[in-house]
Amino acid sequence: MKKNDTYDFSQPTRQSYAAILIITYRLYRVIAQQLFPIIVIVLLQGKLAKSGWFIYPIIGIAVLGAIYSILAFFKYYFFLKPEKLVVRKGVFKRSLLEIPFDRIQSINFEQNLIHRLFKVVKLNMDTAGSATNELELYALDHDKAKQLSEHILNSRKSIKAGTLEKTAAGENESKPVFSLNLFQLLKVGVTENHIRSGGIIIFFFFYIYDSLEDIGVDLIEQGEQYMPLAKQLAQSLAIVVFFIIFFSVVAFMISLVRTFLRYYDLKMLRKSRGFVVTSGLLNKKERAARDIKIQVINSSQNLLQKLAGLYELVLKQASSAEVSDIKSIKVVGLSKNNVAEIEKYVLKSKYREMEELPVKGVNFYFLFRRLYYWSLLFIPLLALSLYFKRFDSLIYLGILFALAIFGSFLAYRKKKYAIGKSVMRIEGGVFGHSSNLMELFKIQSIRISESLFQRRRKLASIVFYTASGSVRIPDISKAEALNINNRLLDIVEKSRKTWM
Amino acid sequence: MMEHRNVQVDTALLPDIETLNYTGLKRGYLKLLLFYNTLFNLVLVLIIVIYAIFRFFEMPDPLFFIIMGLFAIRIIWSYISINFGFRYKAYALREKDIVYKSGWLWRSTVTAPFNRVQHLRIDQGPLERKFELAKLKIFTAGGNSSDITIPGLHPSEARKLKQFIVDKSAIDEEE
Repeated sequence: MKKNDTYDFSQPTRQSYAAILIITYRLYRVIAQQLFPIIVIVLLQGKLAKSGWFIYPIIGIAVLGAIYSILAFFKYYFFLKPEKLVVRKGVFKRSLLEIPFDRIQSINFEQNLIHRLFKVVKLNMDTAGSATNELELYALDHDKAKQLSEHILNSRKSIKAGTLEKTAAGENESKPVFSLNLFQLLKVGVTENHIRSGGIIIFFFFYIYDSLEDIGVDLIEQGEQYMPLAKQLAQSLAIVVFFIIFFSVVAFMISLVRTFLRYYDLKMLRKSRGFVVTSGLLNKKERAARDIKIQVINSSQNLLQKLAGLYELVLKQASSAEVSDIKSIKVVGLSKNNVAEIEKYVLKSKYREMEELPVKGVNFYFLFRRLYYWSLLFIPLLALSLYFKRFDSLIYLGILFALAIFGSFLAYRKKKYAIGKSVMRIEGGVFGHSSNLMELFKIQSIRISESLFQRRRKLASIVFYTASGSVRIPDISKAEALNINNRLLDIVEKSRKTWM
Repeated sequence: MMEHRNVQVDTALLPDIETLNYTGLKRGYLKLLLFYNTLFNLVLVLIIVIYAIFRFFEMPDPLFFIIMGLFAIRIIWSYISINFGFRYKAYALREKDIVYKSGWLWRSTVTAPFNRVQHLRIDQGPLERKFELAKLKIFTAGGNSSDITIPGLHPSEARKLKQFIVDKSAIDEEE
């Protein structure tokens, strides 16, 4: 360390005063979420809202919340002992948290609007071991935070000889790998998965509807009197088209806004043994991914992204608890070369092996089964529409069925795998494309499964479990599955490298 | 430190998980399963009976017979699948991993290398104690669906298995 410690962390230290605001904000948010139905009732029942008495409990709760937050702030200390971080906190119940440096896997910085206003950062410490042992320091001056994280990361003893690098974050050389400019960001927003954004709208409406119903407001009942008219209208194509357009526009706007909020000023840096990714408009996040923790590299394109030549990349990191999204780091708007470059960084010399591997497809049964399932769905629908003499719906059914068949065919064509001596890649996708790349020694266990129908055809599926989710090759010959099983188990069992 | 052995292995000669000598589960486990199943089915029958009593004075309802039929099929099917399913549940220990297979119509075989085992646990419910049975749970970092649970072991067998794996993998034991 060049700059010597300007702050003495061995003394109990409080967070920055901005933490009071942040703690209060978080508390208010939790209270608001809990009281949401009540608030809706009050707002809907005009009389109550007009009388204005309800303002007093709200002020009361707010004041109590603020007092609690201030107490919580003044009772929260952290300090460093030679080999561990100690946190003392608690308003009513005091608690003492001790985290050995060696357990801290990485330290992520985050800034939302409040943080940026006061020039502070939130520290998120990711610890190995038990699931709930995750520690957050709500607000710390930027310099202090940097020093603290460097101190912690540098004084870790290597856990398992030679596997952990000494300097994870810090001033050591970092090379920019990728960054998004405004135009590229716009492109990313336009090519987002709008159907998923649409899903959010639907979910939101259902959520509102559900909440209203909970408090006794039944929209359907209220809408009942207009029903005959609505029924007539619904049958006309115009309303369907109108809804599709409306829905698409809203979905499109939502994905655009979401993209800007999340990926504004996206930067990806290469450090000595990992990546650091920063992004965000209001809520700026800095997250670190160390090579050793990356278990699977997933790159994908949806149909729109394919047309624009953009890729999404997810670095799936091992997590001690259940696999959560928080642990995977997503980078968007990459070109094919960017993806290859990142993959090369992680795999190093093993990447070359990947390029020469023979790529294999899956058995024809994969397609057959898909067609079979789709017909199971469509034949009853067809029968129903014939039975009710709704011949107009036949057109829609026909289009959907054709699309399903086409999709199944594409899925079959795109399902591919390549397994080498130390890496493997499994590809798939329907209209888009998706690829999972992983090192073989990171496999945790392997499952071979055969359904009744697969067994008749001497086929099997094979699933590889990793510390960040599983990867599956469906419908390959049983002999091939057993062979892969033997080979990969042999590699895993001989490996002495730590997988995390 | 990494050992640099690199002997060529013909993967075709490796012992196949198909041809291993598997150890089946204790018969008591089948009895336990049948006992649980009977208990559950009795509850189902009870529900039908109560429903039938309330419906007794009304006109016979075709839907009722359909539901009855489905319940009957479910009950018969549950015994069949438990019986056949039990036969296919078995485990095998190898030098470097443990293999557990299960499933009758949908078969699956999971292999967990010892050097990937995170921790191990022996579970024994009150009824299992009566039947002198125990469960060995083998956790890897692969998440819930990759963990192996071997039920229907004799408690001493479970302890032995656990010790064997602990020795092989050099991990912390969990109480």
